[in-house]
Amino acid sequence: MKTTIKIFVALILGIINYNINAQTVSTDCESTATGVTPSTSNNIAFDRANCWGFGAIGYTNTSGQIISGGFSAISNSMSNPSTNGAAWIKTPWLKPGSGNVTLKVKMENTGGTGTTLYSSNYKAVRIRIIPYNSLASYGEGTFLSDSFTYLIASPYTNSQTVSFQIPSAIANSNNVYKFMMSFIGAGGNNRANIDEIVIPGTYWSNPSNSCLPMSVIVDTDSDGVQDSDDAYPNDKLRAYNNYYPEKGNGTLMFEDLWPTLGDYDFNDLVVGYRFNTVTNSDNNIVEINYEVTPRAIGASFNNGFGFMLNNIISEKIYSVVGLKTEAGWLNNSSNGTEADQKIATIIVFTSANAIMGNPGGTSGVNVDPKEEYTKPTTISFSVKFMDESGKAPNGAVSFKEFTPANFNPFIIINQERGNELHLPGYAPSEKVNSKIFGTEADNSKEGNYYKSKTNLPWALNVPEEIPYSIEKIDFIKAYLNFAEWAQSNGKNYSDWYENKEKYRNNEVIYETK
Amino acid sequence: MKNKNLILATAIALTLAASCTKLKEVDNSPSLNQNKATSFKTIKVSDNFDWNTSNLVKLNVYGLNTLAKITNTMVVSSEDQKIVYYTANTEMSNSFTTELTLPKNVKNIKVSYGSISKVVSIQGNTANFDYLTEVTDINE
Repeated sequence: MKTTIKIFVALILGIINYNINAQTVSTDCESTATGVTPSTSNNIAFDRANCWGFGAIGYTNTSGQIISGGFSAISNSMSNPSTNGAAWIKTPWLKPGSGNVTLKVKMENTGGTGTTLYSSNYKAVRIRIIPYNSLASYGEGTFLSDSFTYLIASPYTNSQTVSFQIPSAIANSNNVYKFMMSFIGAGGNNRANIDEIVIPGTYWSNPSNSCLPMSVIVDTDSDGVQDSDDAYPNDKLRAYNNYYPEKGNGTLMFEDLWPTLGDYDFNDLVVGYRFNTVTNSDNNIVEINYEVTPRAIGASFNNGFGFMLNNIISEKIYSVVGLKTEAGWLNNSSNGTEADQKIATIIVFTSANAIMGNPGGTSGVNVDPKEEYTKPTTISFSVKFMDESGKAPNGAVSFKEFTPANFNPFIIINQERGNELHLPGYAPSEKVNSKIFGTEADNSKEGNYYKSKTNLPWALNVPEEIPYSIEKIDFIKAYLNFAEWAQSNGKNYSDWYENKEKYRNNEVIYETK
Repeated sequence: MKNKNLILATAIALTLAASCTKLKEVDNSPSLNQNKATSFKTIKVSDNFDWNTSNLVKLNVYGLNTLAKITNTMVVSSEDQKIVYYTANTEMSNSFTTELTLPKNVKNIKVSYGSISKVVSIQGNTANFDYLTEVTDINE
């Protein structure tokens, strides 16, 4: 049994050693980023992004300068004997394997060439090794004493291979190093072409961390997202918060006389909202946490409010937690979404009057400055897409599949379930009374719902918390650039709702007390 | 001959003056924007006007092939990084497209990935990001 285990361990070690030895860090100057046309600047940018360093080095595709393929590196004129001042190439951080560092080099002409190193005419390549030092600039410690210098020989304009054995002291090391190749010389105006740089070893740079060596990240919950980026560092199920609106509440404003045109004060029901799409390390949605705040009622109708999650079928919802909606006309499934709806639909409240404390429902709430202000109540609830073990019974929903544009809010006018009013352009749910479409001022058509015959809306959505018109005051009297925005086809004043000078008429805007 | 030239010059000058006057008249003609709506009901909009105050912006991320698997958090934010629009765990070598819902007045976004950070502009509801940094070509 022991023998068997030993053989097994030896096999594994053998495979590991083989892989380490087989790995190389290399550049042939040919690669570029996905979707980017190969060019001298794009190819060197690609290598630079992969943590190669270049000093007085560029890439060339001039035929006489190429060693192999379509691109090679080219140095500035090699007339500087200083290894730091000359042209140089640094590898990314790597764990060296064993064998030889190799590169190909040739001169573009014979100027300043010679046979004696450090004379008045010579061209050479010097390779040195940089150890990692966390306290040093770029982590680059003092060069190791081992170095190698190759004097470029005649015929100078022919490609020749520079080969340098990795010193045994660092071969197969667990420490990280860089190799620096300096292109030094004296005399003449002559540049080197360089290509096919190969270093046995394992790549150990992190391009997303200033090209410093890869390190073990602190990830307390082991979900693959380091603690510094993880909004829930102790919760394996959750990783990121994605708020919409990103800052503060959004504002939904409805005119509830649809399908007839109303007074366009856009305060028949005003609702504040914000939601946080919580995702895991696989970028799947764990839950969406909502905060919905009915702010004003400027209507005699007692309206309900809900929303559809466009693109998300009802079965994808694991549960809805925190809502206590009840009404004779409302029938929810066991997961908390409205029953008999293909697209997930959540009814947040069935009676605005009940939520805002307006049992009479006649004078409105928070629309008349002369009336007492009612402090709005926020309704908080969660729509869960998976259970607490991370299982999504009917398949996970990717964050990519759901954007804030999929949020499709609507009101249920006067609690008549089929009488649902959405934002312009948004489709209704299966519960809508489609017979209403096309009646009175409505001009809804398949794919283009909830617009009047003159393309006017009955609802607006603003990604900020904004005040609204006083009762019976036309919206464009409150927001002075709204009409200009609409009539310019959105070209002017796309920020019409902002609180800027000459944007609002505060005389006719309801001030929250 | 001189008289003929004078007449010709005068004629050209008069023609130009008349043209300028005409242009001025055109400038004064009522445009759609000057046709101010007096109430919401009188707003005139085109058939295809989008009443949304936010845009759906496609962000194309071009991956960078790396020798080792690099995974980090991609954050898309406002230029001043005060408003975060998108956060996701992202493998550097992956190319993908994601949709962002941004206020229509946002023209630029900042994409950050660890130490890599770039401001990218939104052109026609599309923004493109890659991990490459600007380099200056050496003289060839």
